[in-house]
Amino acid sequence: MNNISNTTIEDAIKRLTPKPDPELKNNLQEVLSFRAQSMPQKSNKLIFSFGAKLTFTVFLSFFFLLATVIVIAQPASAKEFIQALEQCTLSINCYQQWSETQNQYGQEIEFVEERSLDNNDLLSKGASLEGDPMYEEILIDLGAKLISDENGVKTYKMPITNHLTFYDSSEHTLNTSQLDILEVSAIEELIWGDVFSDDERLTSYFFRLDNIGITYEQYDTESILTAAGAEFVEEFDGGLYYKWDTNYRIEFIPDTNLISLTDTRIIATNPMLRTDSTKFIELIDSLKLVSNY
Amino acid sequence: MNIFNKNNEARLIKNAINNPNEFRYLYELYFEKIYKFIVWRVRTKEDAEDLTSQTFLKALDKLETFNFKKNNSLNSWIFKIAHNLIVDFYRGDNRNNDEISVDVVPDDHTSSLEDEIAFNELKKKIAQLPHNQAEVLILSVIHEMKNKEIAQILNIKERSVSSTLSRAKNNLKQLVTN
Repeated sequence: MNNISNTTIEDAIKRLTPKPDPELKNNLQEVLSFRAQSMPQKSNKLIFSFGAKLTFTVFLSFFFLLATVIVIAQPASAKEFIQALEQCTLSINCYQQWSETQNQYGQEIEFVEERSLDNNDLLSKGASLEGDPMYEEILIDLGAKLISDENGVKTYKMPITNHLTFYDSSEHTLNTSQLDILEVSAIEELIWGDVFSDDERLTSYFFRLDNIGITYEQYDTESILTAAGAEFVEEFDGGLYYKWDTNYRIEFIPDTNLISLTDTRIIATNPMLRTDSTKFIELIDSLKLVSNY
Repeated sequence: MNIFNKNNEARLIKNAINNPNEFRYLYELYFEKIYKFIVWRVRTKEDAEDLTSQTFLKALDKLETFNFKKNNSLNSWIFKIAHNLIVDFYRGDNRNNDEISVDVVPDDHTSSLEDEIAFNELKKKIAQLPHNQAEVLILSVIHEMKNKEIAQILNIKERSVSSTLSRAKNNLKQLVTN
C-alpha cells in the first residue's frame, strides 16, 4: 500500500482504475447489435409527421396553459410557422428542419407570454383569438369551449388548468382547476425542447392522484391500486408497474403521486393512437370508490 | 451530460428508441464509465464484466421507459441500473462487504504489475466500507459526479451525499493507514 499512502486516496483511485478489456467491449457490442436487430423498429416518418403536428398542437396548448387567455397579436408569425410545417415533408430531413423552426418560434411563445401576463383582465376570462380556421380546429381538438363570439373575436376557455406545477413553473401559476386530467405529453414536449416524442407519453393518460384526494401522505396508494384490481408486476427506476384489466398498464410514480394508464395493445401495434379515455375514467372511478372505504 | 447537452442526448435516445440499432452510440459513450464503476464494487473481473453486460442489455430493453422528466439524465439513469444490479448481485448471492476479496488480478494491459497489486489492495479496503460509502466514493472520485446526480442514482437525499463522502474518505484513509 506504499504507493497509495504516498498520494491522496482520490488520486490513487483514479490512477488505479483498470480499463475494460477491449474484447469485452466488442463482444458485448455484438450481443447488443444482435438483440437490437430482433427488436421492432418504429416508423420515423410517422413519428416525425405526428411529432410536428403534435408539437404545433403543443405550441397552442402551452400557449394557453401559460395564460389561459391569449390574444394572438402576431398572426403573420403564426402563419409563417404553419408554412414552415407544411414544407416539412415526410423525410428524414424533416426532423432537423422542424427543430430549427421550433427554436425560432419558441421565442415567439415567450413574447406572447409576456404580453398576456401583463393583461390580468383577459387572464381571468378565457381565450380570445382572431378567427383562423386552423387554430379553431386545433383548439377544439384540445377540448376548448367557445364562450363568446363578438366582432370577429372568439373567446375560448381551455379545460387544461391546474397541472403546471408538474413541470415546476411557479411563475406561470394558473388559478382555475376545473379539470383533473392532464395530458402531460403536450407540456413535456416544450419543457425539454426539441421534438422528443416518447411514444408512451403520446399514448398514455397521466393523472395526479391528489386531484381525487388520494394524497401520498394520507393514503397507502399501492394498496388502493391493488384494491382497484391492479396487479403488481415490477418496480423499475422509481416507478411501480401494474397490470390492470388484462390489457392495460398502470405506472405509479410515488415521488410525484402520479399514475399513468397505457393500453399495451396500442404500444405494440400503433403508438400513434391514444388509450381509450373511457378506460381511464373507469380507473379513476375505481380508485375513488376504493379510497372512500 | 459533460459531452452532450440535453437536446443532443434527447436526440440520441429518441433515435435509439425508434431504431434499437442506434443504441450503439449510447453504448460507446457509457461502456467504459459503467465498467469503471462496477469494477470497484464487485469481487472479480468476471463479475464486473458480467454486470457491465447486464447493465447495457437492461438499458437497451428498458430504453423505451426512459423519460427526462423522471430520470433527469441518461447518465444517472444508466448508472442507476448498474447500481441496482450491484445491489441485486449481493442480495442474490447473499454476500456482504466482509466477504468481498479480490482473488483475480485485473487483466489490464496498460497497468504495471505494481499498479495491479495496488488496485487489488485498495479495492479490498474499499470493500470494507459500507455499500453506500463505497458507491458515493467511486461515483464522486472516478466519475466526478455532482452530489445531486449521485443522490439520484443511489436514491438518497442530496444533502447526505456530502457527509457520506466525507465519512468514506476518512474511513478509507484509516483503513489504508492501518
